[in-house]
Amino acid sequence: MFDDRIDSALAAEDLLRALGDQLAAHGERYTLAIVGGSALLALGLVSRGTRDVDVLAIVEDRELVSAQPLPAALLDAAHIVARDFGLSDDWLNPGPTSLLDLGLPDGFYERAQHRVYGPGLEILFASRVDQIHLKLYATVDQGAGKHLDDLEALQPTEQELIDAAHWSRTHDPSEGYRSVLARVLAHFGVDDERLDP
Amino acid sequence: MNVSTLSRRFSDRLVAFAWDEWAQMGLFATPQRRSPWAQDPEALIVFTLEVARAEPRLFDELMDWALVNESLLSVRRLRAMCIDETDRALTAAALGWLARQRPRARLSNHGMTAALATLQPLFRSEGPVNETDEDFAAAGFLRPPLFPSHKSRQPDPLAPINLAFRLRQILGVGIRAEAVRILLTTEAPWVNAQTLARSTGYAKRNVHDTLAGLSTARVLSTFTVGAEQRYTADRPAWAALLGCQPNELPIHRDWPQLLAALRRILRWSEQPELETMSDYLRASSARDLLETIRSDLAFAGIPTDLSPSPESTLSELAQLIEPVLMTINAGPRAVR
Repeated sequence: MFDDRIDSALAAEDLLRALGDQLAAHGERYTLAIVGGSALLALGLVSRGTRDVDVLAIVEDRELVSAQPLPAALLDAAHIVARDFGLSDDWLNPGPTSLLDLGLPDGFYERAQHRVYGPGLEILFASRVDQIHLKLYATVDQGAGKHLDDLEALQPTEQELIDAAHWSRTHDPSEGYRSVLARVLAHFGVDDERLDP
Repeated sequence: MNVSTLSRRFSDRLVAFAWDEWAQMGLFATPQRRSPWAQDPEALIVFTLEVARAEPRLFDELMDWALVNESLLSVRRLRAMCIDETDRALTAAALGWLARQRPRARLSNHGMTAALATLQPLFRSEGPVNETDEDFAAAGFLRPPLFPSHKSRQPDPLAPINLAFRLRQILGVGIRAEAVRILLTTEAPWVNAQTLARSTGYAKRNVHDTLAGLSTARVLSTFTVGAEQRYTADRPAWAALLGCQPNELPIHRDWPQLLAALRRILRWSEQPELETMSDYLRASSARDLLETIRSDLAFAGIPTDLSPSPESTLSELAQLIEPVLMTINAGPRAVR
């Protein structure tokens, strides 16, 4: 089921429940905002496997704060889960947390899907709309591959892509970014003229 | 099988094993078998102090045996065999009681353990204790006053299991007797100082110095391969001294490692919180245990395979227990 990969929604749920159990057993409690492949898996939005769980933020009093570095207690619990399930030690990582620096799409917190994994862990999964924002940005910024595959699997509407494109340009307003963005939008049949005000 | 059932059966088998071993070593009980190995007295005592918490009669007869045979025991090795605070507290209680019965400097208990704030019952199932044994209470344990039964005997020096005592009578209680016991019983053609240190519970430097002395006296042979010194005993010569054929010398078991691993498994299985944990946490806890004991078991020649799947961890533990018990012939049987 694992073999160093999280290959199903069930596997993602098992991992997060295990993480919650470990945190609770050590008297710890965290709320994490999760994006990326594992969040898509958990919400049943894609079926591809992934090697990690991307922590966008730690949630404190409804505020999303940087997950870099992950707190020691959370890392300790994650390492035990990694050992138990045969995953790499960085299966839980704060890779995308720098997205907080320039801001998330408005309403991210309210749209996120909340799930509780025992008394030690609550997860906010980025909603489908927000995943479209993040995946479009990742596709343009990092290249196609899994991000484009995920974006296609999310089946975004034209308006969703335009909204996501506008937001992504707040993270990178350069002309170079815009030209790649136009090609990606064209891939989805969206005219890049709609990007301009 | 749930954990409490596994724990109870496991405990029963360990108690039966301890009775069988001690019965051959002079404790008041009828031997049910003749063990083919040389036992490690201190490793077995520390093991029995835990195992016999489920069998008060065994515990008390062990203390009586220790009182009769304390001159054959190494207090230093008793302490070296302790793997955790519970072992240290149990050993401190036993030494405290022995010291009161037979005051001797070597049995003094300085620095062994601090008394716990609250006393915990020594035995697993016992009713209210009206009067407490003060030596055990000083080490944190609640039990009725312990009085020697005066039924124990000295070990039969000719029984294979008692080779350690016989060598101690010849060479004195200390590192020489332990080193020679290992060298005479091991199947390996040679042993290095590091292995002997782990087998005997003494520091490698002390083992090395002792082996050098025994080599100088020509009762052991030394040869060097690379940077490593290896040691071997002239088994025919030692067998002649002991009045037996070389192939009649007892066999070896890595008792400190085997009995420590069994003790850890027993203590793990007796944790009441295991019953209320989630399946995953129970499996994770079993994984902690397996990782803790795997080094000892590897030293004793028992491999542990850990799969990356929590679902299989408990069955892996159950499957591992059986070969460990078979190594010490602790098969299923009725408890006395």
